[in-house]
Amino acid sequence: MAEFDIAEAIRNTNMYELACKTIDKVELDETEKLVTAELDQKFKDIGKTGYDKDREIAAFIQKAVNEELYNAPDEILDRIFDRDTITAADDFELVNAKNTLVTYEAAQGGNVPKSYIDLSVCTPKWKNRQVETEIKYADLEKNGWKTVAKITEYAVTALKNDMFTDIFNDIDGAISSGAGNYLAVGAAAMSQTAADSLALYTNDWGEDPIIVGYAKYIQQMNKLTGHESNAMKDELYRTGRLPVFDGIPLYPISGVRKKGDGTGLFVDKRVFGVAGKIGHLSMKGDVKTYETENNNLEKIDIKVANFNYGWALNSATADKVYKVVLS
Amino acid sequence: MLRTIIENGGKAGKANVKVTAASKTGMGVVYDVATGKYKFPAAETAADIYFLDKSPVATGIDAARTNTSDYQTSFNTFAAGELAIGKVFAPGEEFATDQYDADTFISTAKGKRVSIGTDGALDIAASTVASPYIFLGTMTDGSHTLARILVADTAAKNS
Repeated sequence: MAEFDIAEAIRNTNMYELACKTIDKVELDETEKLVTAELDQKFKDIGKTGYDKDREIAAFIQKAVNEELYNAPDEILDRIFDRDTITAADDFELVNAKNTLVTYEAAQGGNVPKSYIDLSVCTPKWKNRQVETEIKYADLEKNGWKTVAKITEYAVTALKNDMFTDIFNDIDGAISSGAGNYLAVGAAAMSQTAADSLALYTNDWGEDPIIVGYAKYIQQMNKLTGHESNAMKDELYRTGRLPVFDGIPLYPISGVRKKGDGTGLFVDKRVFGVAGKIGHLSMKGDVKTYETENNNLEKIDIKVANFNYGWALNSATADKVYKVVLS
Repeated sequence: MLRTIIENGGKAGKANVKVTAASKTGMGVVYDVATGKYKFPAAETAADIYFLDKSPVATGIDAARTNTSDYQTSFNTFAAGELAIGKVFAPGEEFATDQYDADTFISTAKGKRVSIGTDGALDIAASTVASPYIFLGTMTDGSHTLARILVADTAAKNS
């Protein structure tokens, strides 16, 4: 095919998807094979000469990161936050009003005490994450496209996982002992009463609820006895998990998959019930990928920076989240 | 923050007087005739008190904001030497303020008389201070808690 056709194909391909397919060894279609061959050749050449004139590697990683992080759905966060993207020179605030107007029984013809509505303004917490790595020329020369694909996929996953953990750690910190939406179970396993309180509070809001927690706790909820039907037992037998509890979709988080530093993906010893949308999450600016060639040490330094996100909860005490604490 | 709960209509609020020290809306001050300014009382008192208030006019960058809370700092603080509105409450009126000591203004203190301390904040009055201001309890205003005060027509002391 002619030069410009290949360029067109590269422009139109979803790079992140291509990277994932390569790593997972999924069958590629004709265009994708072409694009992969072209990129493979390019990267191998860079490995040979140590000279990446157009910063191809960075451009590739950048395109994939932007596609996946800013365009792809991210199920749990999309359900519980209003999401958008703002420019680097922007900011946002969440404004909420609680109805605190009070009525009084009154004799005709006089006054009652005034009550007020106040707008509470929640400013977002901003976090900026960065991930760096390096690619040796020898690796590029031998594996070319596969090396870059692997780094891209893992960089995106690492950034997304850390954003998810950050947000839920913050929600965890917002609800303290003694609050109406806090429950200490006092044991290591979910009990019927705990699950009932969780379901009651979350359903009470009348909005789209979900329950999220480590898979071990979701499994405990699935195996609670007393209300199981044959259909539920069949489902457990076949799939190992029930999709809902008291009408609320369950989202188990893997307890064995860890982040790059060995820590878990989620807050441990917690199960959260989230009702509807609990705040606003914005991605700020553009992620930038920088590459620096190092001919002396025969490697390329890769830096994925400016992964900037900010979130604001609708209420300072996360009223629409129910926190169950296990020991 | 100073909220009126029950107030006679059409009252005047003295607006051409400055505060001596940095203060907040809802604080109680006395009028110093010699300097022509509001100042904090020299000792705990409940006599001749003006309560500070401010109109929520947005200035500077805040002017670009569309939704603002009444509790925004710029709407509720005075720098030293800034003009303030001094409100006086008549017997039978009620108001609420957030400039109080949360440790002493608890439910068992309802019905006690309150006084203004040397920092402008409200305290439960010492038994030697006569005050017409009675603590009615706390009220919720959005995410904030205010102390409600009733103005009696006779100053009395706490027993």
